[in-house]
Amino acid sequence: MELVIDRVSKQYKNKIAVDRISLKLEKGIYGLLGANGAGKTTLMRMLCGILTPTSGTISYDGIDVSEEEYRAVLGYLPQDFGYYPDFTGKDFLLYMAALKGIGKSEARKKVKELLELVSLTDVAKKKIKTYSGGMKQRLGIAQALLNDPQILILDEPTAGLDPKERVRFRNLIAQLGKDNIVILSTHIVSDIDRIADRILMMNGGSLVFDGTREDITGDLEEFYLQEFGEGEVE
Amino acid sequence: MRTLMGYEIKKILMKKSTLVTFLVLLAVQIVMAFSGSLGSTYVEDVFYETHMERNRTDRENGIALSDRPMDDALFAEMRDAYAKIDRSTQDYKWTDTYRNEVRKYEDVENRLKYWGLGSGYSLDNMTQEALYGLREQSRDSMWEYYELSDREVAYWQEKDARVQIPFTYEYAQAYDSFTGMSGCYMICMLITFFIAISMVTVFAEEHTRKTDQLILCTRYGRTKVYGAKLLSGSLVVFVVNLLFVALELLGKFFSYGTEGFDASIQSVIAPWYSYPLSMGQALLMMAGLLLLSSLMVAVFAMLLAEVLRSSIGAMAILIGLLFAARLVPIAPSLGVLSQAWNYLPINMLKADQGFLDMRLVNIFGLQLNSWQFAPILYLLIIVLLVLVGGKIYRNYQVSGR
Repeated sequence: MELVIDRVSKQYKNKIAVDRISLKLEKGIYGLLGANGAGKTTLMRMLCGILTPTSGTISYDGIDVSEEEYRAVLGYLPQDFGYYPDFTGKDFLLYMAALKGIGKSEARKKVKELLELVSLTDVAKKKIKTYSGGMKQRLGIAQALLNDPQILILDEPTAGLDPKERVRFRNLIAQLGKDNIVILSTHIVSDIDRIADRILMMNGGSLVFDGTREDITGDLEEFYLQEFGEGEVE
Repeated sequence: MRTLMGYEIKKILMKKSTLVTFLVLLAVQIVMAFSGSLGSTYVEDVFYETHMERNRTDRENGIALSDRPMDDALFAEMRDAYAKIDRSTQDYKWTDTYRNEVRKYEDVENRLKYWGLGSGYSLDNMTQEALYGLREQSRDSMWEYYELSDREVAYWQEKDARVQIPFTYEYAQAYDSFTGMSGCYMICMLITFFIAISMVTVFAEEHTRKTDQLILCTRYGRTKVYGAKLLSGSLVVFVVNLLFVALELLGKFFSYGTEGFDASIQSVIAPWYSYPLSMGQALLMMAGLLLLSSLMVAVFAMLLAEVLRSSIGAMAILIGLLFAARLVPIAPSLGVLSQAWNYLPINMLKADQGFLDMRLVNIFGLQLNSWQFAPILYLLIIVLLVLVGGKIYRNYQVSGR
């Protein structure tokens, strides 16, 4: 299980959004930190195959990011999570399961499990437009987990969750990271501090720090602020 | 694929705009289809007959007269009948004499008037020789109007030799109405409106809702979803179109009866036309072209919105094209442009414009007229759109948010 990011760059006209990033990721949790515009979302989109790198390659166990087999093992929660307001939560998950190629009976079973996991069973048959922000976020997490992804990419997964839910999901992510590759971007440094096996920091499209928590002496937030000249933590 | 299509259809049908548009257009379609039977005729505020009664009488008269050659014997008989009334008065149509002895010829007389075969002729001096002589002049004028080549003229001459002269009168009101402005043509307009409102969101909605990034990173997001969306949209349009065509036929047959399938197109709507075609064949072909063209417009609308990433932009282009096709005439002197313009569905489904356009298309030595080439053209366009659209869809990049 190895996700290889090889000299990946993304350039928009005169702006370099991601600059020659190379990484080899094995199972574990990777915390991605960086200021607004650092290139985190661009990198995550390239890892999901929804944005093609200007140069470089991304592959998982030799399978290119553009291939269907790659997408079959991928789970993604984008920061700006879109949904269909007139779908019920259950229908939305069943639709996402169909998109992920999960068979009907398996999908029904999986959806039931995940609705319980994200505490949405009671509102499963209600339209998503009636959900609160936190409920929508939990639905987003559930859809990312539908296909038991080996690569899980989460952009701000705990945004909008109350502290209790946040702790629950932090624990869930920690559990998932034992057998899978989890890449996590968050504003909440403490989330990364507690669960990330490896911390990645981006600035100006480049990877400026790649290490473990042990490589950082003292408080992670203070370290981050030092690295980025007290820039905004994203 | 079927499961995905189920959800895509659900997305389309759950939109209020789609539902409201469908219900409004359905109401319009029902009224249009049965309008021939609605209402009554009043003469000086006094009830004369319901339109149902009028249709029934006209139908009985028409059936009684059917299979009669439109020749000197018929014209003489009509002249004798019309001589019994004074047509200089405005209300001759409401007299008993007209009702009992003349009205049965009304349909024949209306056709002679509608054909407008030449000034200076009326029933009073119409002869078989004059009528079919004028028909030939009219046919030749159409050949000149369309600036046909010698090869095209030869094609039509060969077809024209098979047109039966004199024409045989057949009562064919339902077919006349369906192939006219209030039939296929209006359904085409309604369906285009339906497509412009409901199909433009099929792809574009995923961008505005930001669900594109979720879909595209799933296993089937860049492959089966594309097909599922196109098939779902096309299926919805096909079913709505089929419903409208069925309602229209039901309405026309209910109002005017089913007689007239074998009536020649020359004897009913286009005396100058040279292909020996029956009204029933024309109806079936127009209905088929309507269904096929609506699929083409639906695929075009869906993919246009995907390219523009905007449902409003695609809607504006579709409605604009619809009105431009109707309001902007392109003279045959502009050659291929004018011919292509007539292949726009809204023009093709107007019998006396695109459907009976006499310019031919030569494919590998085979000469095809407009209603033979149109389905091939529409299918080719659908295939081309699907291929090009697929490439655009697969290469879509989520960026800049």
